[in-house]
Amino acid sequence: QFLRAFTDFLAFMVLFNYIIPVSMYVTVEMQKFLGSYFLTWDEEMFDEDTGEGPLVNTSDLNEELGQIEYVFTDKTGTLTENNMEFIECCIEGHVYVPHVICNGQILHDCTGIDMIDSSPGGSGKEREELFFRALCLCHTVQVKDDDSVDGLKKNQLSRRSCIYISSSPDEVALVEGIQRYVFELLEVLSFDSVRRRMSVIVKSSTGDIFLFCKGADSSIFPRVKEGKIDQIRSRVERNAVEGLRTLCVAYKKLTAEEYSNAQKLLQNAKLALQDREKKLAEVYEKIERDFILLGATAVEDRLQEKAADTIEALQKAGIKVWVLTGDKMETAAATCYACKLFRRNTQILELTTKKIEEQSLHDVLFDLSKTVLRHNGSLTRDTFSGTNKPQCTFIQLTAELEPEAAVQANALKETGLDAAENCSCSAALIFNTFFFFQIVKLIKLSKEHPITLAIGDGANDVSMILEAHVGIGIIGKEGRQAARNSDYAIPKFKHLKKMLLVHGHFYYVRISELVQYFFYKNVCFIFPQFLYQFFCGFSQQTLYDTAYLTLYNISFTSLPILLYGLMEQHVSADTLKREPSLYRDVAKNALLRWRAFIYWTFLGVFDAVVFFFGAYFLFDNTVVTSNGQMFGNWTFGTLVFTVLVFTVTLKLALDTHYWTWINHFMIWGSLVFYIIFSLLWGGIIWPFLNYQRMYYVFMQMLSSGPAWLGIILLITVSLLPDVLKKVLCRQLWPTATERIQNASRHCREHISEFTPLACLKSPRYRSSDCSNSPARRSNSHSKKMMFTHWRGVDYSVLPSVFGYSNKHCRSSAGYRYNGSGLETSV
Amino acid sequence: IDYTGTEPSSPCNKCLNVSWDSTPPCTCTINFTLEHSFESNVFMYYGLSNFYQNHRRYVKSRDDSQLNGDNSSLLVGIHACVLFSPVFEILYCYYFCLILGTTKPVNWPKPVYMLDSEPDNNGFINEDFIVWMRTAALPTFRKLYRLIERKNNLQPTLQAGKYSLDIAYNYPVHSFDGRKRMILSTISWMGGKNPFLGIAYITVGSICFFLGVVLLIIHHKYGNRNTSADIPN
Repeated sequence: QFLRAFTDFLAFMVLFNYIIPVSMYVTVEMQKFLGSYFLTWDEEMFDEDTGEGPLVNTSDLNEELGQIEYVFTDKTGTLTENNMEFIECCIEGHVYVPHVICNGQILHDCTGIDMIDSSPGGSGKEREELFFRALCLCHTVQVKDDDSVDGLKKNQLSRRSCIYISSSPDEVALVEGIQRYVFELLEVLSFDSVRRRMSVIVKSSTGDIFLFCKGADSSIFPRVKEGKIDQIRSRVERNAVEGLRTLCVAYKKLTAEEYSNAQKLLQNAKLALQDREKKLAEVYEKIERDFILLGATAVEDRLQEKAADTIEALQKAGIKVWVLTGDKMETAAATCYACKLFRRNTQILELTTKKIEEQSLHDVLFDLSKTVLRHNGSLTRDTFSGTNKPQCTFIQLTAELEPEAAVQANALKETGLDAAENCSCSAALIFNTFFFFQIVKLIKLSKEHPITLAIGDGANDVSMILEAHVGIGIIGKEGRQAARNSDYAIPKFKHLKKMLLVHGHFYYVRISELVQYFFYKNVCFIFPQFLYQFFCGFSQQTLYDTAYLTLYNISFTSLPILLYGLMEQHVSADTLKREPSLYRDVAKNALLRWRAFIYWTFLGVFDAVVFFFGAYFLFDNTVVTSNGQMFGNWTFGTLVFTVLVFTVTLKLALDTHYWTWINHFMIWGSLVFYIIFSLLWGGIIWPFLNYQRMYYVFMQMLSSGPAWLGIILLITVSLLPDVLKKVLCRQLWPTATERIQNASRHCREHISEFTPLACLKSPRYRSSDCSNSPARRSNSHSKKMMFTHWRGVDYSVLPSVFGYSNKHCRSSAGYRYNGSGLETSV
Repeated sequence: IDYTGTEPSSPCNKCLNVSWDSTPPCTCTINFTLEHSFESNVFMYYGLSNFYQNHRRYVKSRDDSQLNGDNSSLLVGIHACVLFSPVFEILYCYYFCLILGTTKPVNWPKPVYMLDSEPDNNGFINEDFIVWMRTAALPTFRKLYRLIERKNNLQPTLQAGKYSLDIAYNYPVHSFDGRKRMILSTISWMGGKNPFLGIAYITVGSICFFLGVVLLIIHHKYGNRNTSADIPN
């Protein structure tokens, strides 16, 4: 008894396992893999300058591109071109601007640097010289000779015919500007992002030993002993406000004794086996002090083309953009303004240790951050800005984190994030770029678990790229580490717009439809089987032939949906690009919510009930052939299956908005294939089958008039609710706005509001509007011909038999193009 | 015409308790009246209800090689065993044993080879048997038994009047609440009488018509808001 129950259970398992569509995984994988090629093939995303197109390193995340809620972007090299231009330098408080005076005009794109010496000579000269020496020497630029292929010599040669390679583009710019001296290099205290400065110890030809140091203002100024600090500081700050990258240069003269001490310390530290990093840092700390401030430089890094446009579009799309940068706050703010991340009307409320004391904003926030951060003496700046409109609250979160960022990150979490989550854009300033990923992690793990995207170009962005859900690398000047570690790599920041708004949107719509459709078609497939159990004594008898069971998901219905998953463009790409707000419609997984799932499942169950009971009543104890034969159970199953295949395929045809010849080929081809297969399968006695239940079943079914009529009727009825839903949602949009997340409907809205031409590329848009619309049949004239042919058959046949009125033929004929597939096949 | 005989008034009621292997079989006669004459060919069906011919074990047990007349295989599944054959003269329906050819099936009145009168037949190529072996889709089904052909164009095949049907009642169905029927039917090119298609077409047609009108109204009412969208491609 128990065994019996167990085998019954297993038999039902085998019978109903089709409801979990195993083939879906295969199709989804194929769709993702092949779909990712569409990104690489996109010519608009090909960059002429670098000759690079987008790279896709993973195809798993395609649909995530349509779900992005947070974009974290690095500033340098990502938002900006990373093409540094030397703008000015300030030595001892005097400003030098390089330019060529040509006919009274100042040409900024000069190649040679001609200093306008605004300072009187004398002592200034000496400092100037030192300053430029420092700039020349204090770098790690490597020179690549033109004639040697892999001649990367680590030297400081400065010949004009050489190409300079450096880990930092500012250095190249500086060195290209100033090429003079030859020094003997003694020690390099290399740059790292914690110290934010680097030093070299050199020995000049005269035997003097100098230590030159350059770095960010914040790391240089505390170590300066003498020099015109105030003047230079003000200059630096002014430059920063203008969005220029600033560097401070200082030097110190070492005696031979001091040098040997330093050398010893360095040697010890470098040889240390344990905690080498730490010890080195300590030594550096000891050596790099008591500088004499020389001056500051300013280098401009232009915004990438269309960066502002892109950021604006992203914001319109409801994506929160965070700019993470290691630059000075003023520089960052200037960049943010330039790229329209902040608007002019944005009221910037800053929350810094300094500002808080003055303004006492957000007491809670401040208290929390202060208690955690005070011991470090570091600054936490939350810049808080908001317009009064609730939907566009801007919060600029700027945080300067010192190495113990993890602790402070927690503080941030408690403080800034609550506010930051409500805003649409932020900028975080982090001194140490290594801790970019902390911010990303914070957002990623916050309450709503938003999908995050990080974009960056350099090695320092890799951690962030890896941390975010989707990492995008810019194939930029700072090497390819970012591109190699990313999920997708694009040549320029502007391509992000198309990538998210167009490709991401498409990918998401495609994959969601694909998944839903798969469940739908399997519910349609298996539910009649389930119902049949009530009519066969719960004996696990299959309704369909084994060949049909096997091939349903493999060949009859697989290719059209795969193609849909690859090709579908529910709205044209241009419209998507022009109207970023369409992105909001798919945000938060809108198309795969419960409501959508339940709708699809309901549709599947409804269709299944229609198939089964339609066939049931059609066969219900009556004769349906002209020779008096009765149909067996296989004929019954075949009828249901035929209706099923046609309905499911035509449902997809109704959903397809973007028709290419491949779509036509696949959809009608699958139906034709089904017919041909059935004819062959039942029409020939196959030698390798030891039984053949399907022998002549299909032909016999087709020879029956009522079966034909029944098939057409059932297809019509099962497609009716979906058509109706589509029509009502489209037509009644003023009253049903909240029900509709359908982007295509929005497109319609946008058409009326903006451009009437936008949607005309999708001919099937209004095809399902109503039976009165002539557009419905205008897809192809051949179909129309079939359609009329069908109508002719109905007219001639029905009245003669049943004496029914013609009226219903005509009205249902509006939906009758469904039957056209049948006509093609016979 | 129902001849199950569960009602006491039925002439077949007496056969209810008769065992299926009694010889000679219990016979009963049912009188019926045709109100209209049947003009064209009349098809005679036997019908069964609540008889799960589509049971999986049943369907599975069909052996095509045997049905093709290959006698070497000796095993026959229950499919053939439960042969319900309401041959009205020799009405038999039996479970029979699995071994063919060697012994007479226990519950058949005749051995298999006697099922057909033609001498070179092994009993399987038999119209009744073939029809029976095409499993029905639903538990209530009917199967074609005989065709009464129209002899000439002047007379209807079956004239209106009184008829009587002799039934050899062999297969008791009351044990599983089944019903047995005999059906006489004429057939057009569409098959027999089936109101479903007609009703369904009328219903769907009127729904479509109604929806068409409703959508037309909606279209006119709301369509002008976005007339620009209605430019056909």
